[in-house]
Amino acid sequence: MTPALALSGGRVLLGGAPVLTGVDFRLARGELVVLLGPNGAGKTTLVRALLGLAPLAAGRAELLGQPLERFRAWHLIGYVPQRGGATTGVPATVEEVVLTGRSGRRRWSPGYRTEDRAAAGRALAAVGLEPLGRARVGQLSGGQGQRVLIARALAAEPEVLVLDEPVSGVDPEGRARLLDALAGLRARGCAILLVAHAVGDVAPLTDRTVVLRDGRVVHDGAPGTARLEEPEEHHHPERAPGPTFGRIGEPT
Amino acid sequence: MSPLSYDFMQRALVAAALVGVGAPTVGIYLVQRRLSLMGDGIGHAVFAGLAAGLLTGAAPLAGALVAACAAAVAIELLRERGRTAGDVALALIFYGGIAGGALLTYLAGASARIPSLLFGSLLAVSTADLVEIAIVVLIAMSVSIGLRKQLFAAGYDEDAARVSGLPVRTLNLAVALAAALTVVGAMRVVGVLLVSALLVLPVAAAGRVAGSFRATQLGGAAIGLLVTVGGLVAAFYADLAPGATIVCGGILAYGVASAAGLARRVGPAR
Repeated sequence: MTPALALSGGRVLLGGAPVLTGVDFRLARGELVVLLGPNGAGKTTLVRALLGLAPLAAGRAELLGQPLERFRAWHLIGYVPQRGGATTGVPATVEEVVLTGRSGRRRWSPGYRTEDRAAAGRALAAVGLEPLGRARVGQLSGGQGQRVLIARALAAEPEVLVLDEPVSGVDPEGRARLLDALAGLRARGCAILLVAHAVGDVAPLTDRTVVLRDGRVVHDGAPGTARLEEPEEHHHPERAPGPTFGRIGEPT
Repeated sequence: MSPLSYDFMQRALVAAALVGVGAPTVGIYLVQRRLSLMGDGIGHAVFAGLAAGLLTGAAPLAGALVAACAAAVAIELLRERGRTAGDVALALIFYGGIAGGALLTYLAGASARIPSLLFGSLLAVSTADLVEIAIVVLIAMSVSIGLRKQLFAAGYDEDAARVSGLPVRTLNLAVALAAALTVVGAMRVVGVLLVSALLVLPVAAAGRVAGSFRATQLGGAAIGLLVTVGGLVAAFYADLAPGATIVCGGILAYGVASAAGLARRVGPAR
Protein backbone atom coordinates (compact mmCIF):
# COMPACT_ATOMS: atom_id res chain seq x y z
CA MET A 1 0.00 0.00 0.00
CA THR A 2 1.31 3.44 -0.85
CA PRO A 3 2.31 5.59 2.13
CA ALA A 4 0.13 8.39 3.43
CA LEU A 5 3.01 10.86 3.32
CA ALA A 6 6.45 10.42 1.82
CA LEU A 7 9.45 12.59 1.17
CA SER A 8 12.72 11.46 -0.37
CA GLY A 9 15.88 13.54 -0.50
CA GLY A 10 13.96 16.56 0.73
CA ARG A 11 15.83 19.84 0.78
CA VAL A 12 14.23 23.13 1.76
CA LEU A 13 15.83 26.55 1.73
CA LEU A 14 14.50 29.49 3.71
CA GLY A 15 16.04 32.79 2.74
CA GLY A 16 18.72 30.90 0.82
CA ALA A 17 19.89 28.87 3.83
CA PRO A 18 19.19 25.13 3.99
CA VAL A 19 16.68 24.24 6.71
CA LEU A 20 16.24 20.63 5.65
CA THR A 21 18.91 18.55 3.94
CA GLY A 22 18.51 15.09 2.44
CA VAL A 23 15.45 14.25 4.48
CA ASP A 24 13.75 10.92 3.85
CA PHE A 25 10.44 10.55 5.61
CA ARG A 26 7.57 8.12 5.39
CA LEU A 27 4.23 7.88 7.17
CA ALA A 28 2.39 4.65 6.40
CA ARG A 29 -1.40 4.51 6.29
CA GLY A 30 -2.85 3.99 9.73
CA GLU A 31 0.45 4.75 11.41
CA LEU A 32 1.08 7.31 14.15
CA VAL A 33 4.50 8.94 14.01
CA VAL A 34 5.75 11.53 16.47
CA LEU A 35 8.21 14.00 15.00
CA LEU A 36 10.67 15.25 17.61
CA GLY A 37 13.65 17.53 17.77
CA PRO A 38 14.93 20.70 19.39
CA ASN A 39 13.63 24.12 18.44
CA GLY A 40 14.96 25.14 15.04
CA ALA A 41 15.60 21.54 13.96
CA GLY A 42 13.21 21.92 11.02
CA LYS A 43 10.14 20.07 12.29
CA THR A 44 7.63 22.66 11.11
CA THR A 45 9.48 23.08 7.82
CA LEU A 46 9.32 19.34 7.22
CA VAL A 47 5.58 19.36 7.87
CA ARG A 48 5.10 22.34 5.55
CA ALA A 49 7.19 20.70 2.84
CA LEU A 50 5.15 17.50 3.10
CA LEU A 51 1.96 19.53 2.61
CA GLY A 52 3.28 21.69 -0.21
CA LEU A 53 3.38 24.86 1.90
CA ALA A 54 7.18 25.14 1.79
CA PRO A 55 8.72 24.66 -1.68
CA LEU A 56 11.21 21.82 -2.11
CA ALA A 57 14.58 22.86 -3.50
CA ALA A 58 15.28 19.17 -4.13
CA GLY A 59 13.55 15.88 -3.51
CA ARG A 60 10.14 14.39 -4.09
CA ALA A 61 7.05 14.51 -1.92
CA GLU A 62 4.04 12.24 -2.21
CA LEU A 63 0.62 12.35 -0.60
CA LEU A 64 -1.46 9.18 -0.58
CA GLY A 65 0.72 7.82 -3.38
CA GLN A 66 0.37 10.85 -5.66
CA PRO A 67 3.20 13.26 -6.42
CA LEU A 68 2.56 16.47 -4.49
CA GLU A 69 2.12 18.63 -7.57
CA ARG A 70 -0.57 16.33 -8.96
CA PHE A 71 -2.32 15.63 -5.67
CA ARG A 72 -5.99 16.72 -5.66
CA ALA A 73 -7.67 14.83 -2.80
CA TRP A 74 -6.91 17.58 -0.28
CA HIS A 75 -10.22 17.06 1.48
CA LEU A 76 -8.68 13.87 2.93
CA ILE A 77 -5.94 15.84 4.70
CA GLY A 78 -6.38 17.46 8.11
CA TYR A 79 -3.86 20.03 9.27
CA VAL A 80 -3.35 21.83 12.56
CA PRO A 81 -0.80 24.59 11.97
CA GLN A 82 1.62 25.51 14.70
CA ARG A 83 0.28 28.93 15.49
CA GLY A 84 -2.84 29.10 13.43
CA GLY A 85 -5.84 31.30 13.81
CA ALA A 86 -3.84 34.42 13.18
CA THR A 87 -6.00 37.22 14.46
CA THR A 88 -8.20 38.67 11.79
CA GLY A 89 -9.98 41.97 11.71
CA VAL A 90 -13.49 40.53 11.73
CA PRO A 91 -15.25 38.45 14.39
CA ALA A 92 -16.00 34.80 13.69
CA THR A 93 -17.68 32.10 15.73
CA VAL A 94 -16.10 28.82 16.73
CA GLU A 95 -18.52 27.01 14.45
CA GLU A 96 -17.68 29.23 11.47
CA VAL A 97 -13.98 28.46 11.92
CA VAL A 98 -14.46 24.71 12.45
CA LEU A 99 -16.62 24.53 9.32
CA THR A 100 -13.71 25.84 7.23
CA GLY A 101 -12.18 22.38 7.74
CA ARG A 102 -14.90 21.23 5.30
CA SER A 103 -14.29 23.98 2.75
CA GLY A 104 -12.29 21.72 0.42
CA ARG A 105 -15.26 19.43 -0.19
CA ARG A 106 -17.27 20.61 -3.21
CA ARG A 107 -14.93 23.54 -3.18
CA TRP A 108 -16.95 25.78 -5.50
CA SER A 109 -20.39 25.11 -4.07
CA PRO A 110 -21.86 27.96 -2.03
CA GLY A 111 -22.40 27.31 1.64
CA TYR A 112 -22.13 24.22 3.79
CA ARG A 113 -24.48 21.25 3.81
CA THR A 114 -26.15 19.46 6.69
CA GLU A 115 -23.47 16.78 6.61
CA ASP A 116 -20.77 19.46 6.93
CA ARG A 117 -22.49 20.93 9.98
CA ALA A 118 -22.87 17.45 11.47
CA ALA A 119 -19.16 16.74 10.99
CA ALA A 120 -18.26 20.09 12.54
CA GLY A 121 -20.51 19.31 15.48
CA ARG A 122 -18.84 15.93 16.02
CA ALA A 123 -15.41 17.55 15.80
CA LEU A 124 -16.38 20.15 18.41
CA ALA A 125 -17.66 17.41 20.68
CA ALA A 126 -14.42 15.48 20.22
CA VAL A 127 -12.42 18.38 21.66
CA GLY A 128 -15.05 19.18 24.29
CA LEU A 129 -16.08 22.56 22.91
CA GLU A 130 -19.65 21.92 21.77
CA PRO A 131 -21.14 24.41 24.26
CA LEU A 132 -18.96 27.13 22.71
CA GLY A 133 -20.04 26.75 19.06
CA ARG A 134 -21.51 30.24 18.96
CA ALA A 135 -18.74 31.91 20.96
CA ARG A 136 -16.39 34.35 19.26
CA VAL A 137 -13.01 32.76 18.68
CA GLY A 138 -11.32 35.99 19.73
CA GLN A 139 -12.74 35.65 23.24
CA LEU A 140 -11.45 32.12 23.90
CA SER A 141 -8.41 31.24 25.97
CA GLY A 142 -5.26 30.18 24.15
CA GLY A 143 -5.87 26.52 24.92
CA GLN A 144 -9.48 26.71 23.75
CA GLY A 145 -8.36 28.44 20.56
CA GLN A 146 -5.91 25.62 19.92
CA ARG A 147 -8.72 23.09 20.43
CA VAL A 148 -10.79 24.99 17.83
CA LEU A 149 -7.99 24.45 15.30
CA ILE A 150 -7.82 20.78 16.19
CA ALA A 151 -11.58 20.53 15.72
CA ARG A 152 -11.25 22.25 12.33
CA ALA A 153 -8.81 19.52 11.22
CA LEU A 154 -11.02 16.76 12.66
CA ALA A 155 -14.06 18.19 10.85
CA ALA A 156 -12.39 17.30 7.56
CA GLU A 157 -12.75 13.62 8.60
CA PRO A 158 -9.23 13.12 7.33
CA GLU A 159 -7.36 10.02 6.24
CA VAL A 160 -4.12 11.81 6.99
CA LEU A 161 -3.88 14.14 9.99
CA VAL A 162 -0.88 16.40 10.54
CA LEU A 163 -0.65 18.24 13.85
CA ASP A 164 2.15 20.73 14.47
CA GLU A 165 2.56 21.05 18.23
CA PRO A 166 -1.16 20.86 18.80
CA VAL A 167 -1.06 20.95 22.59
CA SER A 168 0.81 24.21 23.09
CA GLY A 169 -1.18 26.01 25.75
CA VAL A 170 -3.86 23.32 25.97
CA ASP A 171 -5.09 22.47 29.45
CA PRO A 172 -4.95 18.85 30.76
CA GLU A 173 -8.62 18.24 29.96
CA GLY A 174 -8.11 19.36 26.39
CA ARG A 175 -5.04 17.17 26.12
CA ALA A 176 -6.94 14.14 27.34
CA ARG A 177 -9.71 14.87 24.81
CA LEU A 178 -7.17 15.20 22.02
CA LEU A 179 -5.57 11.92 23.00
CA ASP A 180 -8.97 10.20 22.87
CA ALA A 181 -9.64 11.74 19.48
CA LEU A 182 -6.26 10.58 18.16
CA ALA A 183 -6.88 7.07 19.45
CA GLY A 184 -10.26 7.01 17.71
CA LEU A 185 -8.83 8.25 14.44
CA ARG A 186 -5.97 5.78 14.56
CA ALA A 187 -8.39 2.93 15.23
CA ARG A 188 -10.26 3.96 12.07
CA GLY A 189 -7.06 3.79 10.03
CA CYS A 190 -6.19 7.47 9.87
CA ALA A 191 -2.47 8.15 9.46
CA ILE A 192 -1.24 10.69 11.99
CA LEU A 193 1.90 12.80 12.09
CA LEU A 194 2.30 14.62 15.37
CA VAL A 195 4.99 17.22 15.95
CA ALA A 196 5.90 17.51 19.61
CA HIS A 197 8.70 18.25 22.02
CA ALA A 198 8.31 14.88 23.71
CA VAL A 199 6.36 11.69 23.17
CA GLY A 200 4.86 11.80 26.64
CA ASP A 201 1.39 10.41 27.12
CA VAL A 202 0.90 9.74 23.41
CA ALA A 203 3.49 6.93 23.69
CA PRO A 204 0.93 4.08 23.86
CA LEU A 205 -0.41 5.16 20.46
CA THR A 206 2.97 5.81 18.87
CA ASP A 207 4.26 3.42 16.21
CA ARG A 208 7.47 5.26 15.48
CA THR A 209 9.39 8.39 16.37
CA VAL A 210 11.45 10.45 13.98
CA VAL A 211 13.97 12.89 15.42
CA LEU A 212 15.27 15.87 13.48
CA ARG A 213 18.37 17.80 14.37
CA ASP A 214 19.82 20.63 12.30
CA GLY A 215 17.62 19.77 9.34
CA ARG A 216 18.56 16.09 9.20
CA VAL A 217 16.86 12.93 10.40
CA VAL A 218 19.00 11.55 13.23
CA HIS A 219 16.62 8.86 14.42
CA ASP A 220 13.79 6.92 12.83
CA GLY A 221 12.50 3.93 14.73
CA ALA A 222 10.52 2.52 17.60
CA PRO A 223 9.64 4.98 20.34
CA GLY A 224 11.82 5.07 23.41
CA THR A 225 14.95 3.90 21.61
CA ALA A 226 16.65 7.21 20.95
CA ARG A 227 18.45 9.33 23.47
CA LEU A 228 17.58 12.34 21.33
CA GLU A 229 13.92 11.84 22.08
CA GLU A 230 14.63 13.59 25.33
CA PRO A 231 13.48 17.15 24.85
CA GLU A 232 15.89 20.03 25.13
CA GLU A 233 13.82 21.42 27.99
CA HIS A 234 15.09 18.53 30.10
CA HIS A 235 18.39 20.31 30.52
CA HIS A 236 16.77 23.56 31.57
CA PRO A 237 14.64 22.66 34.55
CA GLU A 238 14.27 26.32 35.49
CA ARG A 239 12.43 27.04 32.26
CA ALA A 240 8.67 26.92 32.15
CA PRO A 241 7.51 23.58 30.76
CA GLY A 242 7.21 23.73 27.00
CA PRO A 243 4.25 22.58 24.99
CA THR A 244 4.71 18.86 25.44
CA PHE A 245 2.54 15.91 26.14
CA GLY A 246 4.49 15.46 29.35
CA ARG A 247 7.02 12.67 29.79
CA ILE A 248 6.46 9.13 30.76
CA GLY A 249 8.13 7.90 33.89
CA GLU A 250 8.47 11.37 35.27
CA PRO A 251 7.22 11.66 38.85
CA THR A 252 4.18 13.90 39.01
CA MET B 1 -39.76 69.97 0.28
CA SER B 2 -39.14 66.23 -0.01
CA PRO B 3 -35.78 65.10 -1.44
CA LEU B 4 -37.71 62.63 -3.58
CA SER B 5 -39.42 65.39 -5.55
CA TYR B 6 -36.15 65.95 -7.42
CA ASP B 7 -35.07 63.55 -10.16
CA PHE B 8 -31.40 64.01 -9.31
CA MET B 9 -32.08 63.12 -5.69
CA GLN B 10 -33.96 59.99 -6.68
CA ARG B 11 -30.99 58.83 -8.74
CA ALA B 12 -28.56 59.83 -6.00
CA LEU B 13 -30.52 57.90 -3.40
CA VAL B 14 -30.54 54.73 -5.50
CA ALA B 15 -26.80 55.06 -6.17
CA ALA B 16 -26.11 55.69 -2.49
CA ALA B 17 -28.20 52.70 -1.43
CA LEU B 18 -26.49 50.35 -3.92
CA VAL B 19 -23.04 51.39 -2.83
CA GLY B 20 -24.03 51.50 0.83
CA VAL B 21 -25.04 47.85 0.76
CA GLY B 22 -22.42 46.63 -1.71
CA ALA B 23 -19.24 48.23 -0.41
CA PRO B 24 -19.25 46.65 3.09
CA THR B 25 -20.35 43.29 1.68
CA VAL B 26 -17.09 43.23 -0.29
CA GLY B 27 -15.03 45.27 2.18
CA ILE B 28 -15.40 42.69 4.96
CA TYR B 29 -12.86 40.49 3.17
CA LEU B 30 -10.37 43.36 3.05
CA VAL B 31 -10.85 44.05 6.76
CA GLN B 32 -10.54 40.33 7.49
CA ARG B 33 -7.22 40.16 5.61
CA ARG B 34 -6.03 43.40 7.24
CA LEU B 35 -5.98 44.96 3.79
CA SER B 36 -8.03 48.04 4.62
CA LEU B 37 -5.58 50.19 2.69
CA MET B 38 -6.19 48.25 -0.53
CA GLY B 39 -9.35 50.26 -1.18
CA ASP B 40 -7.37 53.50 -0.84
CA GLY B 41 -4.67 52.24 -3.19
CA ILE B 42 -7.29 51.29 -5.77
CA GLY B 43 -9.03 54.63 -5.31
CA HIS B 44 -5.84 56.59 -5.91
CA ALA B 45 -5.09 54.58 -9.06
CA VAL B 46 -8.65 55.13 -10.26
CA PHE B 47 -8.08 58.89 -10.16
CA ALA B 48 -5.27 58.46 -12.70
CA GLY B 49 -7.45 56.11 -14.74
CA LEU B 50 -10.33 58.56 -14.85
CA ALA B 51 -7.94 61.35 -15.87
CA ALA B 52 -6.44 59.20 -18.61
CA GLY B 53 -9.97 58.55 -19.84
CA LEU B 54 -10.66 62.30 -19.94
CA LEU B 55 -7.41 63.01 -21.76
CA THR B 56 -7.78 60.35 -24.42
CA GLY B 57 -11.49 60.90 -24.89
CA ALA B 58 -12.16 57.29 -24.00
CA ALA B 59 -15.00 56.60 -21.62
CA PRO B 60 -13.88 57.56 -18.09
CA LEU B 61 -15.45 54.35 -16.83
CA ALA B 62 -13.12 52.27 -19.00
CA GLY B 63 -10.09 54.12 -17.67
CA ALA B 64 -11.33 53.74 -14.11
CA LEU B 65 -12.01 50.01 -14.50
CA VAL B 66 -8.61 49.28 -16.05
CA ALA B 67 -6.77 51.29 -13.41
CA ALA B 68 -8.78 49.76 -10.58
CA CYS B 69 -8.26 46.16 -11.67
CA ALA B 70 -4.56 46.70 -12.39
CA ALA B 71 -3.99 48.31 -9.00
CA ALA B 72 -5.99 45.62 -7.21
CA VAL B 73 -4.05 42.77 -8.79
CA ALA B 74 -0.73 44.54 -8.22
CA ILE B 75 -1.49 45.14 -4.54
CA GLU B 76 -2.62 41.55 -4.02
CA LEU B 77 0.48 40.10 -5.68
CA LEU B 78 2.71 42.42 -3.63
CA ARG B 79 0.95 41.36 -0.44
CA GLU B 80 1.48 37.72 -1.32
CA ARG B 81 5.20 38.28 -1.82
CA GLY B 82 5.78 39.82 1.56
CA ARG B 83 5.44 42.93 3.57
CA THR B 84 8.56 44.99 3.12
CA ALA B 85 8.63 45.27 -0.66
CA GLY B 86 4.86 45.73 -0.69
CA ASP B 87 4.95 48.71 1.63
CA VAL B 88 6.99 50.91 -0.69
CA ALA B 89 5.16 49.66 -3.76
CA LEU B 90 1.83 50.51 -2.17
CA ALA B 91 3.12 54.00 -1.43
CA LEU B 92 4.16 54.34 -5.08
CA ILE B 93 0.62 53.45 -6.19
CA PHE B 94 -0.77 56.10 -3.83
CA TYR B 95 1.53 58.92 -4.98
CA GLY B 96 1.56 57.84 -8.61
CA GLY B 97 -2.22 57.73 -8.73
CA ILE B 98 -2.74 61.20 -7.32
CA ALA B 99 0.17 62.92 -9.09
CA GLY B 100 -0.53 61.15 -12.38
CA GLY B 101 -4.22 61.90 -12.10
CA ALA B 102 -3.63 65.58 -11.36
CA LEU B 103 -1.17 65.88 -14.22
CA LEU B 104 -3.38 64.11 -16.76
CA THR B 105 -6.44 66.12 -15.68
CA TYR B 106 -4.47 69.32 -16.18
CA LEU B 107 -3.29 68.16 -19.61
CA ALA B 108 -6.89 67.36 -20.52
CA GLY B 109 -7.85 70.91 -19.57
CA ALA B 110 -10.25 69.55 -16.98
CA SER B 111 -8.68 70.75 -13.74
CA ALA B 112 -12.01 72.21 -12.65
CA ARG B 113 -13.33 68.67 -12.32
CA ILE B 114 -10.70 67.55 -9.84
CA PRO B 115 -12.81 68.23 -6.70
CA SER B 116 -15.73 66.20 -8.01
CA LEU B 117 -13.42 63.31 -8.93
CA LEU B 118 -11.69 63.35 -5.55
CA PHE B 119 -14.74 63.86 -3.36
CA GLY B 120 -17.63 62.53 -5.45
CA SER B 121 -20.46 64.01 -7.45
CA LEU B 122 -23.42 62.11 -6.14
CA LEU B 123 -25.97 64.75 -7.13
CA ALA B 124 -24.75 64.66 -10.75
CA VAL B 125 -25.33 60.92 -11.23
CA SER B 126 -27.15 60.31 -14.54
CA THR B 127 -29.37 57.38 -15.41
CA ALA B 128 -26.52 55.88 -17.45
CA ASP B 129 -24.18 56.30 -14.47
CA LEU B 130 -26.72 54.58 -12.30
CA VAL B 131 -26.82 51.57 -14.60
CA GLU B 132 -23.01 51.35 -14.55
CA ILE B 133 -22.93 51.59 -10.77
CA ALA B 134 -25.61 48.91 -10.45
CA ILE B 135 -23.77 46.51 -12.77
CA VAL B 136 -20.35 46.74 -11.11
CA VAL B 137 -21.73 46.68 -7.58
CA LEU B 138 -24.01 43.73 -8.23
CA ILE B 139 -21.18 41.71 -9.80
CA ALA B 140 -18.93 42.43 -6.82
CA MET B 141 -21.71 41.55 -4.38
CA SER B 142 -22.52 38.26 -6.05
CA VAL B 143 -18.86 37.22 -5.80
CA SER B 144 -18.76 38.24 -2.15
CA ILE B 145 -21.93 36.42 -1.18
CA GLY B 146 -21.70 33.44 -3.54
CA LEU B 147 -18.15 32.60 -2.45
CA ARG B 148 -18.53 33.50 1.22
CA LYS B 149 -17.58 30.00 2.38
CA GLN B 150 -14.41 29.94 0.30
CA LEU B 151 -13.39 33.58 0.80
CA PHE B 152 -13.88 33.37 4.57
CA ALA B 153 -11.79 30.20 4.82
CA ALA B 154 -8.97 31.62 2.69
CA GLY B 155 -8.96 34.88 4.64
CA TYR B 156 -9.07 33.26 8.04
CA ASP B 157 -6.08 30.95 7.59
CA GLU B 158 -4.35 30.82 4.21
CA ASP B 159 -2.21 27.78 4.95
CA ALA B 160 -5.07 25.72 6.31
CA ALA B 161 -7.22 26.74 3.34
CA ARG B 162 -4.49 25.59 0.94
CA VAL B 163 -4.26 22.25 2.70
CA SER B 164 -8.05 21.97 2.46
CA GLY B 165 -7.61 22.23 -1.31
CA LEU B 166 -8.97 25.74 -1.84
CA PRO B 167 -7.40 27.77 -4.69
CA VAL B 168 -6.27 30.48 -2.29
CA ARG B 169 -4.51 32.66 -4.81
CA THR B 170 -7.50 32.71 -7.16
CA LEU B 171 -9.78 33.53 -4.24
CA ASN B 172 -7.55 36.38 -3.08
CA LEU B 173 -7.49 37.78 -6.60
CA ALA B 174 -11.29 37.49 -6.71
CA VAL B 175 -11.46 39.61 -3.54
CA ALA B 176 -9.10 42.17 -5.07
CA LEU B 177 -11.11 42.40 -8.28
CA ALA B 178 -14.41 42.62 -6.40
CA ALA B 179 -12.88 45.47 -4.42
CA ALA B 180 -11.81 47.13 -7.67
CA LEU B 181 -15.35 46.96 -9.06
CA THR B 182 -16.76 48.30 -5.82
CA VAL B 183 -14.36 51.23 -5.83
CA VAL B 184 -15.40 52.08 -9.38
CA GLY B 185 -19.05 51.87 -8.34
CA ALA B 186 -18.52 53.96 -5.22
CA MET B 187 -16.28 56.64 -6.71
CA ARG B 188 -19.18 58.88 -7.74
CA VAL B 189 -20.82 58.58 -4.35
CA VAL B 190 -17.96 59.63 -2.09
CA GLY B 191 -15.07 60.25 -4.51
CA VAL B 192 -11.84 58.33 -5.03
CA LEU B 193 -10.17 59.69 -1.89
CA LEU B 194 -12.90 58.54 0.49
CA VAL B 195 -14.07 55.44 -1.31
CA SER B 196 -12.26 53.08 1.02
CA ALA B 197 -14.21 54.45 3.97
CA LEU B 198 -17.35 52.78 2.63
CA LEU B 199 -15.54 49.45 2.28
CA VAL B 200 -14.11 49.57 5.79
CA LEU B 201 -16.10 51.72 8.25
CA PRO B 202 -19.47 49.90 8.20
CA VAL B 203 -17.68 46.56 8.60
CA ALA B 204 -15.54 47.87 11.45
CA ALA B 205 -18.67 49.26 13.11
CA ALA B 206 -20.62 46.01 12.71
CA GLY B 207 -17.64 44.03 14.02
CA ARG B 208 -17.84 45.91 17.32
CA VAL B 209 -21.30 44.53 18.06
CA ALA B 210 -21.74 41.36 15.95
CA GLY B 211 -20.74 37.92 17.17
CA SER B 212 -20.14 36.11 13.90
CA PHE B 213 -18.65 36.73 10.48
CA ARG B 214 -22.03 36.31 8.87
CA ALA B 215 -23.69 38.81 11.20
CA THR B 216 -20.84 41.25 10.61
CA GLN B 217 -21.36 41.04 6.86
CA LEU B 218 -25.13 41.57 7.13
CA GLY B 219 -24.74 44.26 9.79
CA GLY B 220 -22.09 46.01 7.72
CA ALA B 221 -24.46 46.17 4.76
CA ALA B 222 -27.24 47.53 6.99
CA ILE B 223 -24.97 50.16 8.53
CA GLY B 224 -23.63 51.04 5.07
CA LEU B 225 -27.16 51.58 3.79
CA LEU B 226 -28.08 53.71 6.80
CA VAL B 227 -24.94 55.80 6.51
CA THR B 228 -25.09 56.48 2.75
CA VAL B 229 -28.82 57.18 2.53
CA GLY B 230 -28.90 58.99 5.86
CA GLY B 231 -25.83 61.02 4.95
CA LEU B 232 -27.30 61.99 1.60
CA VAL B 233 -30.61 63.08 3.11
CA ALA B 234 -28.81 65.02 5.84
CA ALA B 235 -26.63 66.70 3.24
CA PHE B 236 -29.74 67.63 1.25
CA TYR B 237 -31.45 69.38 4.16
CA ALA B 238 -28.32 70.95 5.61
CA ASP B 239 -26.89 71.85 2.21
CA LEU B 240 -23.61 69.96 2.76
CA ALA B 241 -21.29 68.03 0.45
CA PRO B 242 -22.89 64.56 0.30
CA GLY B 243 -19.69 62.48 0.01
CA ALA B 244 -18.01 64.03 3.02
CA THR B 245 -21.24 63.92 5.02
CA ILE B 246 -21.64 60.21 4.31
CA VAL B 247 -18.09 59.40 5.42
CA CYS B 248 -18.45 61.48 8.59
CA GLY B 249 -21.65 59.52 9.22
CA GLY B 250 -19.63 56.32 8.87
CA ILE B 251 -17.15 57.49 11.48
CA LEU B 252 -20.05 58.41 13.75
CA ALA B 253 -21.54 54.93 13.24
CA TYR B 254 -18.22 53.38 14.21
CA GLY B 255 -18.09 55.48 17.37
CA VAL B 256 -21.66 54.56 18.34
CA ALA B 257 -21.06 50.86 17.63
CA SER B 258 -17.84 50.88 19.67
CA ALA B 259 -19.64 52.43 22.61
CA ALA B 260 -22.50 49.94 22.28
CA GLY B 261 -20.09 47.00 22.07
CA LEU B 262 -18.17 48.23 25.10
CA ALA B 263 -21.36 48.80 27.09
CA ARG B 264 -22.56 45.31 26.25
CA ARG B 265 -19.31 43.72 27.33
CA VAL B 266 -18.89 45.70 30.53
CA GLY B 267 -22.53 46.23 31.46
CA PRO B 268 -24.65 43.17 32.14
CA ALA B 269 -21.79 40.73 32.75
CA ARG B 270 -21.03 41.59 36.35
